[in-house]
Amino acid sequence: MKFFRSAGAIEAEPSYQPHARRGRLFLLLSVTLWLLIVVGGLSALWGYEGTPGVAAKPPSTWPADSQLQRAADGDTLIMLVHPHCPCSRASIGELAAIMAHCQGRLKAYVLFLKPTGFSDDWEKTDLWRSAASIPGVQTFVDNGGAEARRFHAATSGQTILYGADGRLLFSGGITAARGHSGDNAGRNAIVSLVNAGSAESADTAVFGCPLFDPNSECRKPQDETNNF
Amino acid sequence: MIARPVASIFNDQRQSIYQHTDRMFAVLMAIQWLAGIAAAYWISPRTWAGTASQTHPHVWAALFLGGAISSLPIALALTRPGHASTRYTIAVAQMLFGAVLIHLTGGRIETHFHVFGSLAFLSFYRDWRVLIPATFVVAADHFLRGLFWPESVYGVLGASGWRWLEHAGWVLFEDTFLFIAIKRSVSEMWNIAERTAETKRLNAGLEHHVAERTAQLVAANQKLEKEVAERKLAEEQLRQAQKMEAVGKLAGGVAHDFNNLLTVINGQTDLSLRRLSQDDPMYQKLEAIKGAGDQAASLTRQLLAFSRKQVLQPKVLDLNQVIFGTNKILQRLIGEDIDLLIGLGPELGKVKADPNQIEQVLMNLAVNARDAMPHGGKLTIETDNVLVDEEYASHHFSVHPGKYVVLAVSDTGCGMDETTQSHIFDPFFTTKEVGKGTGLGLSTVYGIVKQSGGNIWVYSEVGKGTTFKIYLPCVESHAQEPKIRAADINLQNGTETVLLVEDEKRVRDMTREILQESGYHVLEAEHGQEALLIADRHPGTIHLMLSDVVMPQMSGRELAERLVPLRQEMKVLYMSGYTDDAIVHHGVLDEGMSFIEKPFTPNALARKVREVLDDTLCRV
Repeated sequence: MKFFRSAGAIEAEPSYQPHARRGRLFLLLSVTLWLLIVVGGLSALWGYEGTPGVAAKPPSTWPADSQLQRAADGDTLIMLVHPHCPCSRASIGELAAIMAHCQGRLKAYVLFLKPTGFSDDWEKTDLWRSAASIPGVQTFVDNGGAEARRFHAATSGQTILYGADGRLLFSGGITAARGHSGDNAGRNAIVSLVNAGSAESADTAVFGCPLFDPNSECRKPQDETNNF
Repeated sequence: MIARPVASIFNDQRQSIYQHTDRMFAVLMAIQWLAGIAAAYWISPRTWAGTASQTHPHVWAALFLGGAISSLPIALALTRPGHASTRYTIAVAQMLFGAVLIHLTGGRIETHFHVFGSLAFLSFYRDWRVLIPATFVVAADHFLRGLFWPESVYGVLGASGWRWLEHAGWVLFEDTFLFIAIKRSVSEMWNIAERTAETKRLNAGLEHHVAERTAQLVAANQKLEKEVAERKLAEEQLRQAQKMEAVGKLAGGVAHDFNNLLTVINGQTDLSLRRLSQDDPMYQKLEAIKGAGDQAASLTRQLLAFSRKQVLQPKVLDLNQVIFGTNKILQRLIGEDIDLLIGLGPELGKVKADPNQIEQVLMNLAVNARDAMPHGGKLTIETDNVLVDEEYASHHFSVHPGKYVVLAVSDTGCGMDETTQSHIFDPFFTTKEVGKGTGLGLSTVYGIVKQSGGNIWVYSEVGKGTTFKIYLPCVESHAQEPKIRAADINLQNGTETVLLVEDEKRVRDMTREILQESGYHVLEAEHGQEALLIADRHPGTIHLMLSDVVMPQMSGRELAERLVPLRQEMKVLYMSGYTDDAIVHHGVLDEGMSFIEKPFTPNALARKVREVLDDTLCRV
């Protein structure tokens, strides 16, 4: 191989003139300031994505008044989703992975919130279509959020797993961060519970949009008739 | 020997790549920024809280954070392309933007390829060092997030503290290939630089060779052009010489017979005038005949002069003395309206020329100047010494370097344009009215000057005047004391015996008559053989042989050469109206010879005969 640095002229950095020292200092300050801004911005972004929503405290047993049909011979999964929450796209994706890993041993419902007074098909978003396309998953409209209230869910992407005996096995989110796909503790726990009957954790943080307006009374559980 | 040029070429090429890649990244950064905004707006336009919604923070992040990340590298790429700091900033920004994009797309595995694509793109710089900050950013991102928020990057809370190395390892894996690729690419660049340097060196050599050959061709062409010009000039000179030779032959042929006739006409007229009283009615008529004869003789002389066939009798002269001696004649010649100014150079060198011909030159130029100043003016005659150097001589044809005496004749007359100047020395060329000039004046001057070994130049401006400059070569001899002019010698008769040899009977008769009238005893011969016979039979002394030069059978020179050894006391005087090379060489009479030009007057002949008889140095 040829020695191509022989003349010492390879250094591409043009030599600075003595009077350019101020320019170099200015460049250094600019880069430093830029890094601070960028790191600050990235920290804020990470902070937003890493901040979980309000976690549900679902009933320890399958609520009797639920309009949903619990599986008698296996576990039943319920996911509460705000149809317009972009963060829940990752949750739907993770659900697909769970269903793939559980191979028919799991019955899953994805309930799409439809607040009262909104137009027809408001809930029929790409999330609906994605969820509906997952084998073994049934999608339903949760009018007024009645089922969400029954399961005490407040954040889109809230996932709840009940066993065949109706006992609560898991409650939490199945993404590692807000709208973030990939390996996460919730997915691993559910797959483990369904396939092995046990998991390291039974609850995880939920990352998603609030299902209800913060000041709305509809956050309180009410008895409403669901139209499945 | 070529390391420096190679390094320079290599560096230039590399710098060009740096700058070009900087500009590409500036464009890419802008596109990435816009793409990030579009992706954020498409994937997560709004965030919801029940029925309420607002713009999703990802859109703001894409807009502001993406803008912040892109801004500095774009600015540096545009303002400081090619600087290492610009490349490194771009490398850091590119990887940070990858992190933002991954977040904006929800951590999709596909978006992670942005990292690897960016590393490949950074390798366009062909500077492996830019991979270091890029790899560092990726590794730091994973390390810090694994440390403080492992779930966000590994999906689990209890991931190993070293797991970031797995991610960084894959990046390093790609870095390895990129490093090898960059090193090879740089090596190829160096090879190209070497070839380019070699090509440039060869081209430079070739250009130098071409320039050298071109210069040689130009020089050869210039030499050829000069030779062609010189040849043309020489041909022109040859044509002129041939023309003059032809005219000279014609003039010579005419002059020989014509001068014999004029000798008879003028001589007999002179003799007749001597014998008549001025009151005689025939006297005036003979005077008119003599005047016409003199004019005809003058015309013949001029014909011989411009054709350089006249016989010169050069002497070492002081031109100042010649001018001084002729100034009165010149003043009369030019008239009172013209001021004659004479400036004689001090310590003027000597020249060898026929004083009579120099006087002729002066008079011809003076007449010319007079005719150019019909309303008066100034005629200036100057002399000076000049030294013609090699450079001047090389630029003037037929001029040789050396010491010269210059004779300048200037007038303040009407001057001449260039066309006229180019013809003034041609015989029979005149700008004067018909009947006022023969057109032989300046051609006579030219012929005399050239026959004297000199050169003549003319400088003229229309409306301002004309200057003729005559250069005559200097000689290192003392000026000969001017002989007493023939007209000043008192007519002296003699009693000596003169052998007259002349083939033209009428000339012979007239010459005999003149000599006898002067008291000489004349032995008369028609040709050389007869002269030899007479000399052989004549018992007494023959003091002088007066012989024609051009004669049939035997020339005057041959006759003298045969006769003088037999009669060593005998002196020889040649007479001729035109002579070939018998007694002259290039028109110059051999040293010591005596010669009288036909036509001559009785008095002139008598004086010349007396002069030769009295001269102790006369030779054959």
